[in-house]
Amino acid sequence: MRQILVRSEYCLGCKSCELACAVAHSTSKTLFEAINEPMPPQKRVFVESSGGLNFPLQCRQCLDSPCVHACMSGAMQFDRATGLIQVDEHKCVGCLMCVMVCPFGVIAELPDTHRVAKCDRCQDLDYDPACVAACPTKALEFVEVREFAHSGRQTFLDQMKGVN
Amino acid sequence: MSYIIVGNSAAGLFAIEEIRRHDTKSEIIVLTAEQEPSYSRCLITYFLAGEIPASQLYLRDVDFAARLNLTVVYGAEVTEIDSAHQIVRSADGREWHYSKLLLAMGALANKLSILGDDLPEVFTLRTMRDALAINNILEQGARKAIVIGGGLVSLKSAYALRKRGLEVTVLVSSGQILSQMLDAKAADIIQEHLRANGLRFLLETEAQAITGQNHVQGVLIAPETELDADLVIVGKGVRPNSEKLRGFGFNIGLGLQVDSYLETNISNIYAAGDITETWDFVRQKFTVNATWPNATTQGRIAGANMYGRQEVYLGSLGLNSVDFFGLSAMSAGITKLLKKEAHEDWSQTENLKMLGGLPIYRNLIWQGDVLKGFVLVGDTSQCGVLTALVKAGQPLTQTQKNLTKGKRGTLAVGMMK
Ligand SMILES: Cc1cc2nc3c(=O)[nH]c(=O)nc-3n(C[C@H](O)[C@H](O)[C@H](O)COP(=O)(O)OP(=O)(O)OC[C@H]3O[C@@H](n4cnc5c(N)ncnc54)[C@H](O)[C@@H]3O)c2cc1C
Ligand code: SF4
Ligand code: SF4
Repeated sequence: MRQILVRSEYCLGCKSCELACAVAHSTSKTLFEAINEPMPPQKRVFVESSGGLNFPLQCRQCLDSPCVHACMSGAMQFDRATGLIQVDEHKCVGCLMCVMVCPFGVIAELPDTHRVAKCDRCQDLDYDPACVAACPTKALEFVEVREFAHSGRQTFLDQMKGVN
Repeated sequence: MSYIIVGNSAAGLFAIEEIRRHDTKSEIIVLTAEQEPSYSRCLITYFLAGEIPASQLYLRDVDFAARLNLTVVYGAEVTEIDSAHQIVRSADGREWHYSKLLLAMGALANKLSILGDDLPEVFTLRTMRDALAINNILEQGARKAIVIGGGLVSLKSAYALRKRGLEVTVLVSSGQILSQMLDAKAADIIQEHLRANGLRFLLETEAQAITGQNHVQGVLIAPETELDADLVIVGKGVRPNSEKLRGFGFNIGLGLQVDSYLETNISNIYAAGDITETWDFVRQKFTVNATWPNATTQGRIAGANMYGRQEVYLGSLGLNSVDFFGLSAMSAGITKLLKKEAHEDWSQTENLKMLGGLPIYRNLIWQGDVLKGFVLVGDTSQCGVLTALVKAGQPLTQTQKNLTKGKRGTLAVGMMK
């Protein structure tokens, strides 16, 4: 399986990925039209900064999937076809149980529809993540997991959770 | 190999899916006292509120049992376990042989024992059947409801009835709503928000009797004071179904006792979910943490171990989330400082502000530099990271502690350094 690898040392904090993500999840899929859509498109990647470190955060597809265990509607589930954790927006009731347990804080609330959204690896774009394509410095790369395991950094949260 | 799973709710369902991930061949028999495929108990108030149709209560697709090759027996109430012969029996005399057995029979709503509690419009709310019956009463035009109890299920019910246009009064015997989940300040904020949205609260008030001949007429709260009602919902907590298993040799405390593999004292019999007493790793004591995420996690791990893996269950955590009329609250771990702890190395960092007319409250509870729990109201976006910190139980540096005041991801990123 491929993973989105983050090399935070290359991240400039320019938020190109955030913009590309919102556009990729708009109805029109173009920036100019997306701005005027009645439901403003929601980004599912969050560039966060802390003391000189920039980090584009999105769903890490946790092996222990706390969000799937917390979801009380069955909306957050492993998609059988791809093996990815996805939210079924028709089933989601917006209870925020998943938000309560996601250790990376990457599940976005959609106040207009009272549902949640998270990185879906750009399902609509044939799983070709828009954030990766948009990143000017290649801080984001979409690579096979084995490669990821070697080059991925061991983060504090990853360590304590045994993620990936 | 023959697996028997008793109960097809949160714990049972996740156990079944885990077993099938490893073992696609062996027989899996699912016994459930109810008549429904796996559905979400937590969503029945959403159905009552009219927010989702009954069909959306089901957790999996219609082809689930066929796809996973399960034999599901509905209406099978297990009343006897013969561990010497590895047999379970149901109330109607049927029996099944198991190699591995999971008891995921959950909990039962406590009833009131006061005069009039057997009238037809008095309900507890635990099952889809309860919800459908209450819905019938609503469709017949009920106008005034009294909810007895101030816990999560009571308030979710009161919210639903209010959404359906009823006049709703909530009777709380203690001085605070949601006392298990929230501290006093957070509870006040939620109560005020609910009041502003039309719910009425009477604190420190006990229901003495339910009045009416053949139908509910009202609730007596003092010898001379009666409140009108045509529907009463009793939310006085739940009781693990383990009581029914006394006499079959199980170790039973607050619930069925298990080891760290979630196996009971009888070999080949496991327990998971609301029926189980587990180690609360934050509060450091054995208890029943009867919430959905605990039940699914226990179910999954019990399933893995029934298959033959050796996964250790590290323990449960009290955590919950509510969202009423656009205001959400979440809490995890220890939510209140006890008096006796105040002078030791425990402390709390409390913060309240208003944003766009809505209150934002947070209270973090620390033991030394370890986050032991929190309560959040209003802005809950950072909750997941805080939950992870409570689970990790590791001391934080001062810089990291400062980050807990920031917005969502800053905290996660700050932890990575
Ligand atoms: C209205 C409501 C709202 C809730 N909201 C929340 C919430 O917001 N967040 C949260 O975390 N939790 C919530 N909960 C609690 C949550 O629903 C439970 O923690 C969870 O359902 C426990 O799952 P379980 O599998 O252990 O057992 P249960 O859900 O209790 O299911 C028990 C299963 O066992 C079967 N069974 C019982 N006895 C027998 C028997 N003798 N023989 C055969 N089968 C039997 C039943 O048919 C059922 O399939 C709520 C509960 C209610 C009622
Ligand atoms: S818990 Fe958060 S990061 Fe992990 S799989 Fe779920 S949404 Fe993704
Ligand atoms: S908000 Fe939606 S996806 Fe998240 S736990 Fe609730 S129902 Fe599931």
